[in-house]
Amino acid sequence: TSAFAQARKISGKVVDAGDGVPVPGATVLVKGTTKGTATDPDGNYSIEANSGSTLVFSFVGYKSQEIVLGNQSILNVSLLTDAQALQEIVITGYQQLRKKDITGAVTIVNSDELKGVKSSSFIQNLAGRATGLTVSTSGSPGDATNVRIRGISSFTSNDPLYVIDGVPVLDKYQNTINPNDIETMQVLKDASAASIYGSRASNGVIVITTKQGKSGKAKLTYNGSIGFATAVKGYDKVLNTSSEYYAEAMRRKFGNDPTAVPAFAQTPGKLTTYIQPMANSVDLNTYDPLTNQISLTNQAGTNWWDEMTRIAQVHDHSINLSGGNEVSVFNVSASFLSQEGILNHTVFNRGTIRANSSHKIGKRLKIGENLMYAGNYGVGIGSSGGNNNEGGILGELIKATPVVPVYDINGGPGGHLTAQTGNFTNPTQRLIDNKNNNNTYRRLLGNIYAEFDIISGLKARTNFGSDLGNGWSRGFTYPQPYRVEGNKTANSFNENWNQNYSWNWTNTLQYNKAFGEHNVGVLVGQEAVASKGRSISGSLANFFVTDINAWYLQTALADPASRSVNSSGGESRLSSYFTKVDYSFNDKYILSATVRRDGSSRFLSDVRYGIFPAFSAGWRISQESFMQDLTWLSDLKLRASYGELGNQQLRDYNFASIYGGSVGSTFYDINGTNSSPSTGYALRSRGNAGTVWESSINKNIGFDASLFNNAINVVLDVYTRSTNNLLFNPQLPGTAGSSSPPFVNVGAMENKGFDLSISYRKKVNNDLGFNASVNLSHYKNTVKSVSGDNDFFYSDGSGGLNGRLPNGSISIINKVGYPISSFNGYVVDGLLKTEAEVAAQSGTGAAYIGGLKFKDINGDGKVNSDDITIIGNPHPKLTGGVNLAVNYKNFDLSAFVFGSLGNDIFTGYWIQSYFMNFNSNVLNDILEKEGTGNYPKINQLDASSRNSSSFYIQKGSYLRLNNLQLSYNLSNDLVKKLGMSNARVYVQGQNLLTITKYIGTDPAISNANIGNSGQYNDTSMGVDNGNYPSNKMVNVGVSLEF
Amino acid sequence: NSTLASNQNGVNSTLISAYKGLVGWTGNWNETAWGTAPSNWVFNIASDEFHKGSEPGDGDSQLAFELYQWNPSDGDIRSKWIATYEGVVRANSAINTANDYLKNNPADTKFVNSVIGQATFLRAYYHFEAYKVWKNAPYYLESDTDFKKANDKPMLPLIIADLEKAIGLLPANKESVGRADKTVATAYLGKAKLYNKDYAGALAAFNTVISSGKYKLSDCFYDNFSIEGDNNAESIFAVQNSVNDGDGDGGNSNFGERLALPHGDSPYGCCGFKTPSFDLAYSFKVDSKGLPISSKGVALSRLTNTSTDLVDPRLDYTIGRTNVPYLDWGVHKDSWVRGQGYMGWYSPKKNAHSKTASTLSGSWSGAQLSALNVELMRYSDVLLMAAECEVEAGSLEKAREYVNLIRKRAGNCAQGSSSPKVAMNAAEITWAKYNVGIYDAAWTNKDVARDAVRLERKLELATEGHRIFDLQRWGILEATISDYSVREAKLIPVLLQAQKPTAKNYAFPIPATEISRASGKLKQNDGY
Repeated sequence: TSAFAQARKISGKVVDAGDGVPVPGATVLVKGTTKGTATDPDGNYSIEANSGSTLVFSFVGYKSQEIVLGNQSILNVSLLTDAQALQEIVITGYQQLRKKDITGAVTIVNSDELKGVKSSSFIQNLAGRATGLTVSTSGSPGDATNVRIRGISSFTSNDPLYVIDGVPVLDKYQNTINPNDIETMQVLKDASAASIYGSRASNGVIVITTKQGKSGKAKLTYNGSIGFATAVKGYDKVLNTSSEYYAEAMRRKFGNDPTAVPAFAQTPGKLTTYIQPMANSVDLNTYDPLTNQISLTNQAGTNWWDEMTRIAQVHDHSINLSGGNEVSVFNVSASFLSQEGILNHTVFNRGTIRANSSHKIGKRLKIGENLMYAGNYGVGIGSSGGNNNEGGILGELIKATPVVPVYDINGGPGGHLTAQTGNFTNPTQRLIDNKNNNNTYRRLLGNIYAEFDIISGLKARTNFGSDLGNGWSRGFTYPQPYRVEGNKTANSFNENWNQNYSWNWTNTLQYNKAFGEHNVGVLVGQEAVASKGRSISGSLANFFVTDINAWYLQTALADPASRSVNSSGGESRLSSYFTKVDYSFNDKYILSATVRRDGSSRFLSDVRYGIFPAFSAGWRISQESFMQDLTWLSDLKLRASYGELGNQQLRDYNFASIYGGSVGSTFYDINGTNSSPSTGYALRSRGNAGTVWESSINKNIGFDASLFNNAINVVLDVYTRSTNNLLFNPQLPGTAGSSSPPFVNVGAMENKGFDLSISYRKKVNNDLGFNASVNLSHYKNTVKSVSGDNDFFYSDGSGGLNGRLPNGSISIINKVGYPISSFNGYVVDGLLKTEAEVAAQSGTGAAYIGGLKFKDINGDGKVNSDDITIIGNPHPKLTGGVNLAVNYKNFDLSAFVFGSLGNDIFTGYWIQSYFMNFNSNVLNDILEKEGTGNYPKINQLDASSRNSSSFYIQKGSYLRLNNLQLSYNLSNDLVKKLGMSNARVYVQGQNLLTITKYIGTDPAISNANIGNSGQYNDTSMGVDNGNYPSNKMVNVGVSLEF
Repeated sequence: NSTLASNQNGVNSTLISAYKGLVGWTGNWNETAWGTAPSNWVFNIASDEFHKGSEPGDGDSQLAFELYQWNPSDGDIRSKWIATYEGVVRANSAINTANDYLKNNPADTKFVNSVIGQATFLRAYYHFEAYKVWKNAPYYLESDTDFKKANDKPMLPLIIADLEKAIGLLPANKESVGRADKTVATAYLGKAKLYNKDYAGALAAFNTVISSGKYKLSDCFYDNFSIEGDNNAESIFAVQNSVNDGDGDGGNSNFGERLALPHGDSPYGCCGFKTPSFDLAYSFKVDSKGLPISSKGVALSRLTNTSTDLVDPRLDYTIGRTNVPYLDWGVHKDSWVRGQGYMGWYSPKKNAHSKTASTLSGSWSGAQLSALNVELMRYSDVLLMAAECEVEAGSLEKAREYVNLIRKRAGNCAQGSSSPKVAMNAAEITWAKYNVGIYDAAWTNKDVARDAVRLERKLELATEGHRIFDLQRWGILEATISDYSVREAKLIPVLLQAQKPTAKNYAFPIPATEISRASGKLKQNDGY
């Protein structure tokens, strides 16, 4: 090697050794330096290097090649595809692993796949991308998302753990992250993959690695898009918009008592001129906006959905700067997203800043950090996602009748003081009143780490992470003279603030060494996690001025007697030790063992610690000599794993009984003052000192196969997950009173399923290539035990419309032998035709001829609550995704189709839209259907038919074109002229097409935020209580790289 | 709770929370507030006093009470169970805390006796509520820790024993207006013995209350239902409600009663439940002597403001009728009636607050929530119960004397247009011809006397939460409801679907959830 050697220019072309097709983006590096470059789209490169130095050519999916430079100035290289499977490095479980060494069930999602897809949270786009993962969310921007990995294992939280650059985060929103910042995501599905994360990993782990800087010249990228959204299907396609149609429904509803038909609908074909008051002539001088609104009848009919919605705009901009040298690399990004909701005046805005860098100090030490700040601002509609109750804005829409106009005669909100025209509150005005009721969330998330190479193969790492979240919201309720239940004259204002803080400190020591054909890796580590939260809320009423500038909790502004203030808080800690041993022989036999011990402050000291072991083994059978003749088989790895995972998602301080109280629950006005109750103290939560860790046993077998020179890849996993000692707080006998029951270990649950993915990749020639992949997932959830005494419990009312069913409280059941959240009710068997049938059904409430006939399940000749049975299952039998991509020259076309098969939906909102509860508006085909088939006659007095029954159960299967994208890469010459290194423009559509028999707005029902306190979502899934439909969206965007 | 037992304030605060149980609602959103209401109005839908009200589809499970189709899985029945035993749990907690306190403060027996006396009284009160509804329910003492306890022992002797124990400990006079004292507990002792058909024992207790001289009938019947009249001399025991007290939901107000107010463009806005029956209105008709006319077997019709029938002035304090002044809010209108005839045309009135009462600021139902007390036991109730005992003892004239006291008071005032309290013969009264007279003739027939006392009880205490339990203990539920239901159904067609009351309807069913949670120890009531 000559110190005096002259650096000179080397150029050449990198091609695929198999088909000679150029490999763009391949890295060319001068070994031992930071000097490097990448091949252009035609595979060409040029670099300056000395003779005698070594050039390293590498690219994902190929074996890297090292060539010592001689005197040549042109060096063409053919890269061999890596027949041993991909060499990708996966950062997972505190360590870096070669993907081929993974013996657990792991799906890697490349953020490129999600490029261009617009939503407020990256996880909303994961559906169908990773096998075994189901996602539910609503069209409401910024809304929470339920991600479920391999079904459901708990009655409490089933949210996966997110690990963002090493910081563990439990958060079902994940809307503070700019998707453009994400490099890769790994979904860890089985125990062997997840168990290293121990106690909080029982629902699976999603590991997110953000983009890091690379050495080389600084790179600036800009991604920007603008999009337009509407609902996949509006409520005006489901609900009637004609006044006369509604009037006819009213006449039929009151058919048995024509005098009870409201005045406006008395004469067929002729509505009264005024709807408020209901008459043909009204003294307009009596108009008063507060006490006597006067509204003309909307003779044609109000399309409330149309009045409430708009074409929503979505802007998304993000800019990223990265670069560095051999010593330091950095990556800085900033982004802004503004997503309007399709409902007027609703919006979700997010701004983020992210910065990270890493630095080598000397030869052995590396120090780095990640820091993210995000600010969210949102105006939503209060009740979120799929959980709409009758007082929510979508609940009002469902009740809203077409006869009522949007405006009264004076231009104010259309009003109606009698329930005769529907018990609803003008939803357009509700949206206007709501427009300044905003919430903000600010988050500072970051970590700092150091890595030290002690000796070759032995590395120490320490990582300190911190997550600070700050939420604030305010809401003002105006007087509502347009409210059916009287004028709510008192205004009120509430304001809430909360702060959550957690830190984690992780220290690991990792040793990797190859001894001949033996590869050994050992990881030992320790982790401490602490989190605490605090919130304060207050309200005040009767403000003298309602102006937004007076929205403060100051008693000088309102009625001091109405003041209400509360604060609460809690904290918890975890202390853990873990170790993992990996061993592989000749890349053929792979063994891995993990054990983690967690201590949680949520359990008393003698039962605080849980130990969670996991084992896995892999056998690369294709390496065996007897397989070598199978030339079509490129690679085949069999995998098996067994592991236990813990769960401690229960309330803090569960071990203790908590005394306390509040004005409304324990105080009493013993002195008869009418306004100054005396302090009372009572038991509010019962504790249980003996509660221990919930644990699940996970078994997984699977294989990874590559066929036909890696053209086809197949991954299959079959698993069972059995949860024991399931943490649950079953209601105590009522004789224990109303204090909250403790979490105890009573339940058991099982999930069985499989995940299959098949992909095919073909490069026809230099200009044309395509690939296709199919993901299929199936799980079967079975409740095994719910408490010592019972074999079932009903899901507590979600407060949704289904709660209006006469027996709504039993409509969702969790029963041993059935899946969680099964639908429960009568089985419909046609319509009642004879008085004898009516009499036999009297135990179900007032029944009438023409009403639903329910099956006498127990055959005792009477139909009553003993004949209620399980009537539906919200869990799909199969979910899957199909990805198709074609590239031709500079064009790329990709499509993604998602399907859900075999799930039932409980149409809770039909209590309004079919049975016209509170004279609500009706389905747009009710007149044609009622009284035929299994559709009961609409009859105001018929209480029996309104019961929970199979009438409400609809098939929820659907197939949806989730994403269709066409992009064009600007030609190299043009890009260079523009001073860029890469430029892409694209047009993309989301949810453009849905094929389903479901007649509601959207079969993709969100069950985020549903259930008791919005937490225990999975005990209330698949109920359509006025779902917020998903968005159909078209985006146009550019991606520029400088 | 050792901290709570360290001083008097801590002990007292556990007792306060036990009193709070009287409100029914204790902030458990898994319960229906309606089932917890201290007036038991949901259960009384099954009586002949009033209907569910509202409109079809609103409160279908409450419609089941109307139609005698209620079942063990009804949410209101479960809510009543939980609220009742929450009261028991809190009372027992107060007893335990007081005993803990006593260990460190052995000299402070006066305070401890008072607390334990009050808590023991409350424990008896809550178990009495359980008895009224279920007849067979478990009894929990402060030493009980197993919440799965059999309901195989007669409850009334245990209630009586607790009341007698409480009387021994309680102070002679109330330490504050909402608390119990010896006299309050004695009144309930009489009531418990009456339910136990120990007429002599009951009478002795009632006579103790009457002769104490601490209570008297208020001058005007309406005083018992106005905020100004809260805790007047007639009120023996009442739920002390409050609003604008720091709870934005109004959890200490008439929280469980708030559906029972006029709807539509009425000043309350919502919700049109608990609509009085045509039969109840008819029952207030009087003859030329001002004596009541039985409604048994008669055809019913709507009693309008143009009716020329003579009526007891208590009619328009009990029932809101269109074109008749509604307290101080102006006249009641048809538009205040929800469901427009579906459950009749009357509005409830006794639990409605006047303009002068302040209501909760804010909340969706603020205009419905007031601090108006819910009367649990009035002196007139004691007089009527005493009259029942006198009838059974054969002292018919004493019974007549008590009934006449009440009828005489009923004539002291009437709903007016200038004020809710005007003279019965005031010229401004154009919507009714009021008259109420006393029984002049001696009562000589025990059956006639018994019927007269029972009818007076129906009129005086109408819609206050007693009727269904009275019909049950008198054993006349089937006869009364069968007659009523057929006549009422002529005007309210949904009643045509009603089932006939049977023996099982003498008790409400133990909630299905409780049967299943008690490991087989709770026995369901017969017939369910």
